[in-house]
Amino acid sequence: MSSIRVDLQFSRQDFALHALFEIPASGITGVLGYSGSGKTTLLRAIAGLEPRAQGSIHIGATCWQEGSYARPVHQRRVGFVFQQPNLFPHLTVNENLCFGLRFRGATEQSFALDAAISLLGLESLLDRSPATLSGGEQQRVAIARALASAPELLLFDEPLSALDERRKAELLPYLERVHRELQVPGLYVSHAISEVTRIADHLLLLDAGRIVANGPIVDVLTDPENSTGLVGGDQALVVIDVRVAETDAVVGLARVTAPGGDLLIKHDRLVVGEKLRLQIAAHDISVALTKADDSSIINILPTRIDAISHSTCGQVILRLVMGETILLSCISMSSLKRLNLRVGDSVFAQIKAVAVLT
Amino acid sequence: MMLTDFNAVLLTLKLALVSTLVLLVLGTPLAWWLARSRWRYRFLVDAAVALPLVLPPTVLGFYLLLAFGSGGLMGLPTLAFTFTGLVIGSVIYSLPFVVQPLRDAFVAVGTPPLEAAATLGATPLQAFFSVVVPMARPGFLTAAVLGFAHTMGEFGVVLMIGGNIPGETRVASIAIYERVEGLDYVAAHELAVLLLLLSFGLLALVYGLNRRARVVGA
Repeated sequence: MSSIRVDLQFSRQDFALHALFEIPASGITGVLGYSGSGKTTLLRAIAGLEPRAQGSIHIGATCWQEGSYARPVHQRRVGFVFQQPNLFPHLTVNENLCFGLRFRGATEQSFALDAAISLLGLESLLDRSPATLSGGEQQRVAIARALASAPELLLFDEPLSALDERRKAELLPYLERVHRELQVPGLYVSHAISEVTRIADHLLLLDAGRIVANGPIVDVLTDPENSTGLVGGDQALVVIDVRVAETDAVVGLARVTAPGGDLLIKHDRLVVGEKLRLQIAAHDISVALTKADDSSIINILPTRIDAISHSTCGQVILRLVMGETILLSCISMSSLKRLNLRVGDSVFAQIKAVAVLT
Repeated sequence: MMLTDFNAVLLTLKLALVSTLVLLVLGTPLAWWLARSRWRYRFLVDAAVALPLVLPPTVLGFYLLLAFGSGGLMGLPTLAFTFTGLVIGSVIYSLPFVVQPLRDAFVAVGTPPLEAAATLGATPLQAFFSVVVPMARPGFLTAAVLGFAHTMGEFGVVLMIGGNIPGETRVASIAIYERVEGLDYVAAHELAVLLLLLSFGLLALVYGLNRRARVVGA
């Protein structure tokens, strides 16, 4: 499989970025980091918007930057979605969407335009002026505009950060659709783990200008080494990709199959065979040495403790293995001692809540 | 109105039109550079562009006369007392009135639309014409009208380098001056009212159009 290889350096007075990584040239790669960690700079450098960035960028077999060669921005075929929609105020929505077509004359583009319009649900907005749209609608147009320019690489720079919570919730399903239906690889920068877990397949962690983790999202989220505070610790969670195996409308539950076993989740208009991504926070999993039959908890799964990592404030994170599925449980230090838990022990994971992301 | 005075008005309009076109062609790249450059000595260029705002026109005219006169500076052909000389003088004299509104309009457009255009495949030149020019349209309108109107009212520079050659350098303001000198207040009045109405009409037009542009753009 082809890959995206980046080795970039950039320095300002108070800040240095040195990003060296290789990621698959398919699916969405989340770039997670605190404010000031260099996420936006990294993304802008890949697009060619930071002329002072040194190093190399290879997208599959195509070289965008190497040594003294730097392909200009307008020749890089990126689809860049900025924090602000940045629509052209003097053009209608439709003219904004067609803007890229004027300069990139490829034949498949009219298809890309129609696909982008329907993917982002813009049919009824085409003749409007950007100023008459809500913030969420403007950002949808901006995403469609990036898709319609037939990019080889999509770059999302915290596209939800300028929106309030309600608009974010409105826009997220569209981003999930983009992720599901589009073949173009992308980088999605965010400081919010909750956004990244919804649409990323792969995850990069960026801390103080350096890549501190790089791998499939499930691996990065469950790696006990990654306790920089970005993931793990208080925010520790796992995502599990599952398929709906059966639904029971009477009891209102659905059985879903994960690589390591089955889980029961709330049945809410699910279809058998449908693929879902579940998110389970470490706070929502407790452990027991015996299987409690008198518990209200639905999902009680046999697992083995694979690793124990100490986090701050008297808490520990247990890495639990169930076949190929990994779960994280956050328990107190005193519980750890009381139950005398060690790596290799068998425990029952009691899952209190499962969030269905897609 | 006498034919010679009418010709003076026509010449004034011609001078203003030609000067405005030259100013837009030269002033646009200059204003763009002033809006985008981070050169540390850029302020010197800003100051030089603003100079005609404060300098007595006669000072400017005097140096232009030295430069344009026969055997003048830089081996220029003799341009004093010619229409071409007047155009060059007017361009320098009206420069700030064109460059400053353009520069401010370009600054207001900002970097984000340019970056969006570049990521959508537009070269810098394509981005300039498809994004910056339409977004800065009110600035262009203001610049053109101010340049035109200011050139129409020019007097001191013309007096120094143009003289009073009918059909070549005898513009309306000079004609008014000449009528007043000859105590022909009626003829002076006719010309003065005409200039007054033309200037007001132009300015009213630009402010009216810019107001509508804002409403449409809002």
